[in-house]
This record gives sequence, C-alpha cells and structure tokens, in this order.
Amino acid sequence: MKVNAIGLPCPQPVIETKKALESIESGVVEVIVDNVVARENVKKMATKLGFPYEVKEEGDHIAVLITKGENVKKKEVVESKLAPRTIAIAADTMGRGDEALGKILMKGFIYTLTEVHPYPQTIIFYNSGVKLACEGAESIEDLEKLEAAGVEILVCGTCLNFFDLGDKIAVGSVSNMYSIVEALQETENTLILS
Amino acid sequence: MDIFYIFTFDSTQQAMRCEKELKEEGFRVRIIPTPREITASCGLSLRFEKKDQGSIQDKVRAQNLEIMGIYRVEKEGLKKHVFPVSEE
Repeated sequence: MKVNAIGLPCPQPVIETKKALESIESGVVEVIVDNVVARENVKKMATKLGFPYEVKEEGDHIAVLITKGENVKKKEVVESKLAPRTIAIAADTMGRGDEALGKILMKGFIYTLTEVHPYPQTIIFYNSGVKLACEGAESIEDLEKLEAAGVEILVCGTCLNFFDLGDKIAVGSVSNMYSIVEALQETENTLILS
Repeated sequence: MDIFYIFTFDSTQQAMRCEKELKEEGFRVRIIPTPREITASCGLSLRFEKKDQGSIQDKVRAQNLEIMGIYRVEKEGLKKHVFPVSEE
C-alpha cells in the first residue's frame, strides 16, 4: 500500500500513514515524503506502534516503508523507573510576575527534575518552552540526563518554527500536536507548567 | 561521583546579580535550587566547578558580590553530601 504525502503539510503525512496502517491487517505501507520533518514524524509513529521500518532516499523524495505484522506487539513502556506522568512545559518562565525570576525558576525546576525519582515518562515543550531545549539553553544538560534515563522529550515543531529555532533543537525530538495530545492523554496524570 | 561547589546567598537578588557578573566574565556558573541539606540561605545557589574556585572567589571579592556561604557538594546518584568550605 502506498501513501503519497508529497507536499502535504504537517501533520497530514502522519495522519495519512496512520489511516493506511489501520486499514490493513498486516503488510507494508510505503510512505513517500519530501522533507526531513515528515520523515522523522512518520518514523517516530512507526516506532511508537512497534512496527519496523526502512528508509530509502529516492532523489527529492524519501520513502519510509513500514511493516505491519500480525504478531508485532506495541512497544511496551516497561521502564518501571519512570512514573506514568507527563509534564508539559508551556513557557520558558515559571509563573508570572518577573521574567528574569521566572526563567531562573523554570531552569531550577528542570534541574531539580533530574534529582527526584521517579522520572516522568514524557516531557513536552511548547510555546516559548521550546527555547529550553534549544542550543544555548542551560537546561540542555539536565534534559540530556533525563533523556538518557528513558524520558521521552517532545518539542513542538510548530513552536520551533514560529521562533525560528527549527535547526537549533539540541535535545529531544521534534513533535506535532498529535504526539502532544497522545502523550497528554496516555499517561495517568499530567502536570502543566506555564 | 559528581563533585561541584556552590555559593549560597542571603537573597534571590544577590544570587541573580552574582550569576550575571560571573557569566559576563566568562565563568561557567549556573543557578540551581539550594540543596535541601543546606537550610540557611535563600532558595537559590550558584554552582561552579572546583577548578574555577580560586578565580571566582577573587572576582567575588573584587566586585564586592555578596555571598553567604561556600559548600562542596558530592553527588552520587540521588544521594548528596554537602560540606561547608572556608574561603580560600
């Protein structure tokens, strides 16, 4: 089965791929995309669903071949060290009142996350929160530590684009609203920091 | 084991000023929440590396930056040991 996602805006390629995968019992779905972000998002979705994939560069286009198997189980989140919790970081400041103070508090919050177990399953960054995951941010070393421990770090692609930080992401993976909504709904509890 | 040094402060403003001035001098410092093991002081500390201790303290004196205490922090996993340090 083929999905032609050339020229489709984000997150359309992921939606179309998902539909195609849902429509078949098993087999291969070939997704053709024309940009790296779409490729990454499609790959990420395949990984999440537990389906193996293969990537082929074909001139201007990239083909991602996802194999849906009947017996392939969803990748289980068995990292027991992690709490079933998502933390959404919606700004680069914590609280309102003073911006400089808010920035210090947010950096302190992320630093302290590395010192309190269990770690959350997922941390999502959106709006100005994405700046914390970009080059030059002090929080990167903390986030790398969390990521190395298995914490999933999702950074809103729309937001990176808005702040012109598309190529500055230093930790985690570029994500879209679908992954964000899923992460917020999948875990037992969610903490939103803004 | 992770070993680093911190300054503690009387006030948040002092911590922020100290961070700003030392960063402007090119020192690698960062504000972190004061470890729980230290009860006195405001909630913010400035973290720095052992190798910079001498030059940072010189700078602190020269610029008249107000600090409250100096501690050595030894971190192993989530366990932390904190030792007061006398000024060099």
